[in-house]
Amino acid sequence: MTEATPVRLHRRVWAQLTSQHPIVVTIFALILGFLVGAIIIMTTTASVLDAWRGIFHNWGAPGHAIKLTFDNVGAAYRTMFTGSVVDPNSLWHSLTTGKNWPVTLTPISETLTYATPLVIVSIGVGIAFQTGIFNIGANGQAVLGGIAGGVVATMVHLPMVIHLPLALLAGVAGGMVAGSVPGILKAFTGAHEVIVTIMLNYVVYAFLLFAVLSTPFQQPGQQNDISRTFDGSAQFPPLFGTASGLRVSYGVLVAAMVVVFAWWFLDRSSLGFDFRVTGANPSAARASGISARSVVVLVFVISGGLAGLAGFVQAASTTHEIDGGFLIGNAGIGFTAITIALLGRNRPMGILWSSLLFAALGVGGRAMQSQTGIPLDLATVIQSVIVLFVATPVLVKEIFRLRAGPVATLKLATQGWGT
Amino acid sequence: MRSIRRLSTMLGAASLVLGTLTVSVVATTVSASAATKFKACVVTDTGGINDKSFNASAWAGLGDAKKSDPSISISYLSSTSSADYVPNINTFIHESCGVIVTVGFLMDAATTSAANAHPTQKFAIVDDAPVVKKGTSVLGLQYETDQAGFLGGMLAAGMSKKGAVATYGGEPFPSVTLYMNGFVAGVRYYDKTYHAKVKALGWTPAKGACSLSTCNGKGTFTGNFTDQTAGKTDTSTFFSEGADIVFPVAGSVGLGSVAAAKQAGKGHYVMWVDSNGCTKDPSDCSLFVGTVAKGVEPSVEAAVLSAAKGTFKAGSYVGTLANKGTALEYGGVTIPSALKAKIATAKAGIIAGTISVNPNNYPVVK
Amino acid sequence: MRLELRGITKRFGSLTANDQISITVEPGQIHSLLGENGAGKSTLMNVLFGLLTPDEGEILINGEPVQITNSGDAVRRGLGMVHQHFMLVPVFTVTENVVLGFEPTKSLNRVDYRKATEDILHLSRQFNLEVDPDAVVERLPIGLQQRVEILKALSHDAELLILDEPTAVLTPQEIDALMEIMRSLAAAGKSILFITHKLKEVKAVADVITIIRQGRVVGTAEPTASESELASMMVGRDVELTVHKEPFSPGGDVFEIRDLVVRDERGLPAVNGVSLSVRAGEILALAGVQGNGQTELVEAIAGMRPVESGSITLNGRDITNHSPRQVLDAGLGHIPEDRQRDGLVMSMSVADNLVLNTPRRAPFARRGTRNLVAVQAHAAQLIKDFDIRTESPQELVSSLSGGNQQKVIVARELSRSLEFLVASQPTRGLDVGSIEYVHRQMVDHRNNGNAALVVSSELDEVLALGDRIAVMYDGKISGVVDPSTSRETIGLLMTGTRVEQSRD
Repeated sequence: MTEATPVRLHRRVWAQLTSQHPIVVTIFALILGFLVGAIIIMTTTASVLDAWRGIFHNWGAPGHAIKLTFDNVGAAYRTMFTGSVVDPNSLWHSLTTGKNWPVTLTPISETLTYATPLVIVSIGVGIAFQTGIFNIGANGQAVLGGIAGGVVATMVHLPMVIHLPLALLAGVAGGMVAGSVPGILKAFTGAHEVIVTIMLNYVVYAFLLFAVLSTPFQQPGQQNDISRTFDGSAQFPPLFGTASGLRVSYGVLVAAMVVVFAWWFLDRSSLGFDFRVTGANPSAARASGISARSVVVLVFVISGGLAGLAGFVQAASTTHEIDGGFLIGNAGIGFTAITIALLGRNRPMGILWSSLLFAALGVGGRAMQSQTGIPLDLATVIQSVIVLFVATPVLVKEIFRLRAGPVATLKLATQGWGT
Repeated sequence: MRSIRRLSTMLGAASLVLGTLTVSVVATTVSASAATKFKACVVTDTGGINDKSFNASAWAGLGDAKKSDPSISISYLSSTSSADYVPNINTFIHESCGVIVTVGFLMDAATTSAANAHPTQKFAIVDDAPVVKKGTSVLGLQYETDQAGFLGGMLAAGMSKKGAVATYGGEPFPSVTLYMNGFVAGVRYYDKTYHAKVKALGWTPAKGACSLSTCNGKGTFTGNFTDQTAGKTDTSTFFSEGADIVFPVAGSVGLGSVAAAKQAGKGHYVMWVDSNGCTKDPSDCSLFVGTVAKGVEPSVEAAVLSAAKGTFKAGSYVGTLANKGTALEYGGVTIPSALKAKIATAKAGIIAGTISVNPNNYPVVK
Repeated sequence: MRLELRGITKRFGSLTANDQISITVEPGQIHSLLGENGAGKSTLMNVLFGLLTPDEGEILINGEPVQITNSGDAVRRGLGMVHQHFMLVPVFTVTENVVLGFEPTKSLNRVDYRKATEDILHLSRQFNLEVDPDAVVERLPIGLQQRVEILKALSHDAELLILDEPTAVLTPQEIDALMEIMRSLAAAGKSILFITHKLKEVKAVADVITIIRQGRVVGTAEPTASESELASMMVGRDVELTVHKEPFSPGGDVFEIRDLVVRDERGLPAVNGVSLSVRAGEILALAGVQGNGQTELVEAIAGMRPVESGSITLNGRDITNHSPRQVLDAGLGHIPEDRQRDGLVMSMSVADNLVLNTPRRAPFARRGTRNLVAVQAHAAQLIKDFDIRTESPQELVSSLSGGNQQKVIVARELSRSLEFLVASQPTRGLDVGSIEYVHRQMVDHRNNGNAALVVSSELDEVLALGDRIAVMYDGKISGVVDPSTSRETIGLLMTGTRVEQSRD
């Protein structure tokens, strides 16, 4: 419906800002996430809490308490920003003197380094979500990709132009193998993918320990669970050279290509169209001649392949070796990917931004902890709160009294466990 | 619905607060931490600062240093996986830490490359002696824990009623197996010298002597330093095989042994490792016959203080019974004075070099 | 009871669903509320039942203004509602369902079933609503289940009954019986508000007809008004109620089914030995009360349900147990029964839905990459050709009205070069205007010499479209008759009664 009467620009902007547009909801969720973080900082910092307890003691006390709160919260978020994006002072220094660029660029380089595998694995999970498939096994697929790529990276010796792509393809293949198991089981026996993928994760973890403790792959001269170091020809070189000390590697280009591929795949390819139809309405997909079986197998192969690629990129661009704790526990990018995909609404660009946000919160949280003593876990709390509010748009709508519009629901959050 | 509305008003107000706050974030420029204070930093391994073991000891060493010299500020970063070692160390380098303490042999590679890239940066690494370029300033902190482990083995052997004691490790690192090797040597020495008919389970030494960098053999390992369930399972297995005292060398995994001893009931004890069990876990003190302690805290404290004073010396430090860099500490169980006397004699012998801590010198006769 | 609605207005944002609606239902009157889907009938009923609060206007019962804030209020004030979808517990008996929530009790809070049964028998006799109080509801035919709903309302002393599209699920005989019941209720002084969009029924039973369109009362009519008068008031323009068909000149057999057996979800034979054939230039209409195997038959034809035995041939090619893809490629067009479930992807655009089953066909894709320009152009063309009311090809299909959604499916299927078309309940839930449109499209398709099978439970539709009419009952064909056959005869076939057949 085009507006017949001319509406003033600010009115229209305001209307957009107060509508339930998905982006608006996400922005408000971000605000809420940081607000909750601020409240946590306030209530867990002893000095701030003491100041608030003493506000009735003298006239100046309330002002002091408020100032202290702002100082603490401000310092926390400031270090989070300067530790993950750029420190304005350092940037100014570099711009005026032309020196110290590596120091200035370190925060953003770290954020990109962390975001790189996250983008890749989250896009894999997002594509599965769009097809109505809950791939909880992305982590195991990433681990197997890392192992497969690692084997090629350590045990074959070739010039880089062949070695790196070959190891990369091995990583993709490893993820595809791990992904095809639940895919085939679901397609041909109806096994529930959530159960199968969760279980398969543990199988892969056990295989990882076996691999890094077995003679050909284990680091020679070591008894513990660590692999050989990747050949230099199978590592992603740092984007700005080793001398810069900046860790960001050519892996980011792989991630960028994955974003472009995902955009083409979902928006432009015939197979991606089949996937989206299947995800949005499985019955209509069937009636339109789309084979549910081949879609299920293919989506797992693609999702797993991307997870495997992410696993290899992670190892080949940072640690250059794999140990028994590779991507396990808190380092499980395959699980973070689920929340990132939700936050990014399963769209490639959304996932890109969400990954950068999550990486920045993690990297900035590290700076925050080391400089202000506020634990890094606060970053995790903020991430969780943001996702919580994005997943429950009704809450955000009520809190900010947004008008009805295209309601930003996350279909998969509610339907993922069905069928 | 109404209450949500009310909440929304409150949160609306709070969002205004946040708005102002963002302004203040941008407006404030120079951070307070840029003062000239000396900063000591520790990067822990995946166990974190609450592992009641060597990560906790390293962090406590920083705390002790701050107590001795309040002008020192301290900070830590935990690694969630080995992928965090490098960025954690880098973060501290960029924040101009006076000294960076890294914990554990696993961080060898990350510490070495950081030290080579930043030769002026002072590092101290616990349980490792990295090979670094000349001109760098890295202090390796190592401990001949087989000496105190030997005394621990004697204590366990002397206290055992069932004639068997056991040990297990987290992962087969030299810093772990050295303890186990010394423990087994102590048990065998006690068995042979006092005809006690007691045996050690969980570690079979390889031929040859152990050193700080290699200590081979076959034994029981949980595969990590965090899985307490695995520690409990292994300990229960040892109990069922006839052991009554177990010596876990696996950081916080040892808490699983405590749980297993509690479950097994009277007469089952644990020998704690690294730092005094009765201090780290007071509620379970009555289950600890003793602790084979490693002087991580004092040596880290000394390293930090020397760095703050400008007297930091790169190279390596080796803790022994003689310099109290490793020691046997008694726990919450009453020890007969006769046994204490035997242990004191052995200690003097080890320091004097008259008693060997190599288990192969006390072969088991079958 | 005298119910008066005065100036009821209900707005949803910028949309006015009810605009100054005033209606008076006199005691003992059957007042029919006639309007298309989306005209505002449901909103009005929700206001009346307290589920929505009107922005303006008031409700008067027997001359006194009342506030109705919830459905309990409405029931206490003597309003009774018989929903389109019955609100009955299938495994309970009639008595249990009727007293549910208002059980008469003996001492110690025991339910007094004897009294309840007596009450029900009394009510049934009073209003000619015969039904066995001890029968289990799920075993009763739909028509009797509806009686249970009416009894339930009456047992709460309803003075005014609201019947919401009550005939949608009934056979012609059951519809006649319902009309009888309505008349006897009115004769006993009960008021009835009869909501429908079926003109014949309104004419047959109503005392007064109020027509609403786009939220407004556009007029009242006497039952003597002609169907086309009522239809044009309802739609707002003249409507052709009968479709013009070229003379019937069938060609050779295009589509043939032989001794087909298909099982349903429970493993029971839902289609049990059906044989049919359709010739070029012919529409074969398949009539029958819903749930007699039509759904399974169509699914089997479309490749979506396995065939147990028998065969399906299209132009002499065996397509039995082929996949939906193969069946589509063989030239079968399918307008599914549940368009939102099987026919459309609601969260996708009109353009994407128009190529839903041909996304790889040239020029819509080349070597795995979709050509969105071609898809767009195709959509623009079909939107024009089939008069789909949408802002743009990019609009989500979910924001279209039901009629336009169906047009998307019809356009998609008829624009492919088809060998044969199967349409299942093609006009269910559509307004008169859309029904007229869909019918014309199908007849045009047939006039061009194509064959089609139309499955419908609407007798009017079957009669309007079919060149021959097959009637399905309990998984079998109970007869194939000429469209000139009387409604009564077809109604009997729909209940499985064998009759003398006039032809074939």
